[in-house]
Amino acid sequence: MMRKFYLAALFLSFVTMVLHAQSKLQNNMFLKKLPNGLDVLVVEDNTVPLATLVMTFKAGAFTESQNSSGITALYLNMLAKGNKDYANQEDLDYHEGQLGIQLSNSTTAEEYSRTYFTLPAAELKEGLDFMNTEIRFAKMSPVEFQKEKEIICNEIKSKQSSPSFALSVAMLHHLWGNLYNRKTALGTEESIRAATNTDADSVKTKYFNPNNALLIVGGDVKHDATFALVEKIYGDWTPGGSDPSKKWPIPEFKPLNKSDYYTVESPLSKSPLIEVNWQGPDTRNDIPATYAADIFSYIINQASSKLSVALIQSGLATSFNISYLTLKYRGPITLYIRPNPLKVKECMVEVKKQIELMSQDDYISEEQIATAKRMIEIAKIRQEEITSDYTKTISFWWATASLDYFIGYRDNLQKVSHADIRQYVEKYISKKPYCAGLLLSPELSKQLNPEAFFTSN
Amino acid sequence: MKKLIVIFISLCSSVSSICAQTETQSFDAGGIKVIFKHTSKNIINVQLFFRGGVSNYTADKAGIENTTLGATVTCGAGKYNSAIFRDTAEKYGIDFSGASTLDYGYVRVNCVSKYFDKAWDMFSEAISNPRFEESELKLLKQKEIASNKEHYSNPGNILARLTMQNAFENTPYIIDPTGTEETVSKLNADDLKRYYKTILNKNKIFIVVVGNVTKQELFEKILAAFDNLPSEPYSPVEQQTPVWKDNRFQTEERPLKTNYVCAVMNAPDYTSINYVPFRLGVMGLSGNLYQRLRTQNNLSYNPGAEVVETKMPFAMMSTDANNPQQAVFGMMQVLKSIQSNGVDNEWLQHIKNVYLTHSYINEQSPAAICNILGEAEILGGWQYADDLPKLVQMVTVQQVNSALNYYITGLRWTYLGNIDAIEGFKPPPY
Repeated sequence: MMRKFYLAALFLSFVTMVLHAQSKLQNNMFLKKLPNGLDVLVVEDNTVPLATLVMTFKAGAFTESQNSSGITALYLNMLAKGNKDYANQEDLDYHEGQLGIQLSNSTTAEEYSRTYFTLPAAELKEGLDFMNTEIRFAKMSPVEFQKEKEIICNEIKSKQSSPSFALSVAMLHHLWGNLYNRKTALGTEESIRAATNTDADSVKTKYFNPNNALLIVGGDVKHDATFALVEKIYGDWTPGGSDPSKKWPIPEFKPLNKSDYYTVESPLSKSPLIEVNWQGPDTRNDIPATYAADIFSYIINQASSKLSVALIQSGLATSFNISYLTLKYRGPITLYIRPNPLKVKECMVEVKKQIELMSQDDYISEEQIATAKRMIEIAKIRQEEITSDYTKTISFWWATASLDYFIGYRDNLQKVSHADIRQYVEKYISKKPYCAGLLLSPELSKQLNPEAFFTSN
Repeated sequence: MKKLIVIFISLCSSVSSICAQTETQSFDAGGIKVIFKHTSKNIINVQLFFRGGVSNYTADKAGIENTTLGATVTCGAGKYNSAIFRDTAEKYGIDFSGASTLDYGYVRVNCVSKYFDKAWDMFSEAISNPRFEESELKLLKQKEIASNKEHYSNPGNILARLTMQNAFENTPYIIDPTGTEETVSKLNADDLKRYYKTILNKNKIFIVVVGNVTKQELFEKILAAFDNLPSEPYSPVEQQTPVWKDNRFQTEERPLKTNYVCAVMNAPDYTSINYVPFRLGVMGLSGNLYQRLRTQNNLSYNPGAEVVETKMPFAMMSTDANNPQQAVFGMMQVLKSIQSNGVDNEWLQHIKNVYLTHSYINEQSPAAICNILGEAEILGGWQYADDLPKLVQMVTVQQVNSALNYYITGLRWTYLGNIDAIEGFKPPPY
């Protein structure tokens, strides 16, 4: 699916073309590709007089080497440090106030980087200009670059003050081996301090190009007028050549050979936490499994599920959650469990037993499948209610799958069968090795001696 | 301040006509106050508020209201035993929650409009006939205790709690509405039933509804469901906010990678004519802190300031900091600077622009609108929330500058982190 999409980008004509996906879009959505390759999606919603602008690039942790870990987020943050029209961050902040801009921020994750803000719809042209100059004409002042590195190091320290952070970082290493950095956009203090302006320029040259980007404009706007404005402002943005994912291929993650257990002690931990991860499917190789994964997660998280009855109703745990993160390069399946501190061992025994049982035919029921499908449908209705958030949701799907995937998501979920789910569980969970981490305080660790039971035996 | 008040009153006379387009309305349904806003959205949010919050109980019962209201939607209700209630809610994607805060408790239901009838039936049973099944209550208590422990493993949350204890000594606000392991573990079904009787009172509750439903339909539903609820006289407890005129600094040691500091300051009541100017001033303070501490001096990652909307009002500024002494001096300088130099018209216009966008962002979500209207009603009247965007547009720089100087005359600091980093530190007199 993505292959077709990229081929289209390569053989662009010089007239603006409307993508074939247009006909399948919801009635209030309109898609256009500019001659320079920039995809533009307009989401019309006139319930409040606002417009949200989201510019997303296919760049993030997955495009970074170990040495350059965190460089994409660092580069993205530098866009807010001044450009050809605004001298520095103070100047940018000041003009954001002038335009009434809110929710202004940027995010870098596993497989995308995006910058976004919301402003009065009447200021749409000014907002598009503001974003254009921010993205294309950043100053990249060396002094500001050094300052931003310090800020990110402060952010890392702040996250390290949360006990669950250590568990998550350890999980990345255990699950993804020496490519762990391609699953975390934050970087490390070491990699951030070593970053140079040249590294940041390289990110810009490789990935921050119109043919690797999607601009979403959502809110009280008209699509024709918006397309015209976007083309006028962004039309002269020079494309960056061929598909970066082909020019700089992403290495494949090595599969796990065996299940791997570890414990993390933190004096900050007040209650134990178990995290179990599998390497899940991705949107390049197994799209049907990604749909089954979402349905399965919604089933297991239901209070009536066998896992819930075994863990929550029995009092072995106070809460749990399973999820699958849709990605193009191996999405993780994550099971979090908050065990009863007095029954951590019993809880883990039960978790192992339940994982074994998950592929059995009667582990889930037809009614649970129907409920899960309805729940996802309702979750989507809830998402669509808030356009300033929904635009960001769409950008996630574009980056980690494709717009076609997003458009067909609802229908494809409805087609998932009991057999599809069982196949997914067998292929990615019940018969596969996993990583399991246990976070606890040194006192509880001494009391429980987790090495005796928190193992694959 | 007198001048400020006069200016503001003269402007207020025109507020009602400016705000006439508001769709929010209030009516009585069988003795229960109802606040209703119709929207065309697909989601309906209903929230029943209980007035009083932590002033409804003593410290040894901390968490009782939170657990009681949580139990109304998890431990069975009327014809639904707990399992059926939970499964039905899941089946139709109906979200229920019940909890309590410093000033109020609530039970909330949120659903897509096509399942509103089913959601309402369950909601009305939860309010009128909660079962408080003992076995489910045991699980709920375990969950609450674990959730509380997790909450307080986060340094920001620990700092917030310590700040309340330091700033609000000898007031009900030192009570944590979610309780402690000790207080919550002692609660049983009989305690909850007895407590619920004390708060289920038509004069102590009100309902906020936001969604695609008609006023008539709503009126009939409320009357049919809640007409028989008890109706007793209710007088809210009068509370006196502490006055912080000194610059006291209290510390708590924790082995953290970075340090956290927070300062509490006085603020006007929500219904005060100085409230809106003060709130805009603190928005400006927050921006200035961000620029000074983060953008210019790299002293912290996340500095800011906010007005906390509570019946005993206060504002706070907070930050993380590797060098807390420099950060505290920096925060003091920024605050003193905005107090002595004031703000100008251009700055104020920018704050107004941003505020308007912020208001419209909230308007997208029925749950957010419900919460804003309900909190405003708790603090003095739902109309204030509806009028706020208009009131913001009327604020002058003189009002902002006067309000910041009138209310902020001292700070109560709380520090969490490495004691070595703050050794020998004494904040300057305010």
